[in-house]
Amino acid sequence: MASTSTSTLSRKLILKSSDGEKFEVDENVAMQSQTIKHMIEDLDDINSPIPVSIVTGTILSKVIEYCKKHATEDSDSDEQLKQWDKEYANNMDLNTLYYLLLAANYMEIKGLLELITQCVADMIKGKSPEEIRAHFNIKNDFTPQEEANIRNENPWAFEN
Amino acid sequence: MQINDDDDKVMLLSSPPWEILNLVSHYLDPNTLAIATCVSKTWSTCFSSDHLWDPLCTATFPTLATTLGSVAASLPRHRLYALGHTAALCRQWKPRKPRLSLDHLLFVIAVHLPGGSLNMIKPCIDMRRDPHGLFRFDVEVVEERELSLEELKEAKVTWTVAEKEWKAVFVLAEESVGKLASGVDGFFSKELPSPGCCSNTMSSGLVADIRFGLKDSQDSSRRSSGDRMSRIEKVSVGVMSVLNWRHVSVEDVLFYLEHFLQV
Repeated sequence: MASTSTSTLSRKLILKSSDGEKFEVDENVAMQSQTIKHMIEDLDDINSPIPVSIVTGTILSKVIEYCKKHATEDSDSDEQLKQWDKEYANNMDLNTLYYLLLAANYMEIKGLLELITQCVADMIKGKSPEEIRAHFNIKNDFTPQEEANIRNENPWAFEN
Repeated sequence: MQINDDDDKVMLLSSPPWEILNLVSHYLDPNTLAIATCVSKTWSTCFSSDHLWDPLCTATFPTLATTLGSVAASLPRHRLYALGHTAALCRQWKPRKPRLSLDHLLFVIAVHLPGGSLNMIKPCIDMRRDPHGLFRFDVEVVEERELSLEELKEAKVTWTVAEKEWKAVFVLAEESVGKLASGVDGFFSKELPSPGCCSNTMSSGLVADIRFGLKDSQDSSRRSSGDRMSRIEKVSVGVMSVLNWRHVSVEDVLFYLEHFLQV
């Protein structure tokens, strides 16, 4: 068992972003992504770069940062890891969060997907429609009549 | 979904794309989802989809989801949820407190007897109240006259409730005649008028009830003559329901009186 784990750790993979940037990562880091895990199973030659076709280098580097941290989770307690996740997500601007979310969804990294989804969901919670528009830079494309109608459909949500 | 452009840099998104909303939607509670549908047309479409609301309906309002879900299949599930939510709130709704309170009220009681009237004005709060919260009040009477049973049978009682600053009055019993045949010396008004808050054909189901507390004469000479004489010692007034002939709670009568004593 120990020898298997050592050999797994020693293996390196190369991930290639949509814009051609290459990242060399330990196999156990890359394996956090179910998509990559499945790709490796199908690949004969793991030395050739693995294309992560819809993720840019900027985003991929952030994904790898997350995967590295979570691949070595033994070193940190759950509490420390949660704190790290929180700071990691809080340091992203909105656009990065969107792309990270799409990347996590595409690469099937469950922990990252949950972290970012929850982070965006928290930004929506407790806000009025006006506040949500301001936060996410959304144009109100309802006519006043349409807006009144849709609000009347959900009066219960606006109580309290 | 194209999330990169040719220039090797992240394209700026002005607002979250549909895919993001779809992913996030499963992390939102019903209340937030309903508010989110009011943000924009895209958000409205995304956050009111049946596949999102169907499990919420089934989990929160299972009966409604199964019954209405099959007979009104075209009803969008977020509307179904709204119906369920409103229905649940209505069931929990607690009636407001009456605006009127006992310290707003003055009781004017007039007992017409052969040979003179007995008139009283009393603030309601100075009267002795029913210990069980029923609309029933006692007042002591200082009346020296002794009356025969025949005279008491002639009695007529008028009971008026007034707002304490005389802004409004309401007659609960008007010239009510007693039923002194039995030992209970009670007077009932006609059925009180409908408060007009429901259907007009609905009756109030209430009557005013007035009783005398009588004290038999101590004068033994008169008692022995067989002509029983009594003194009115106390007057009790209350409101009863004709459905069960019990007194009605203070709160219910205050709600009723509110319709007539608008202050």
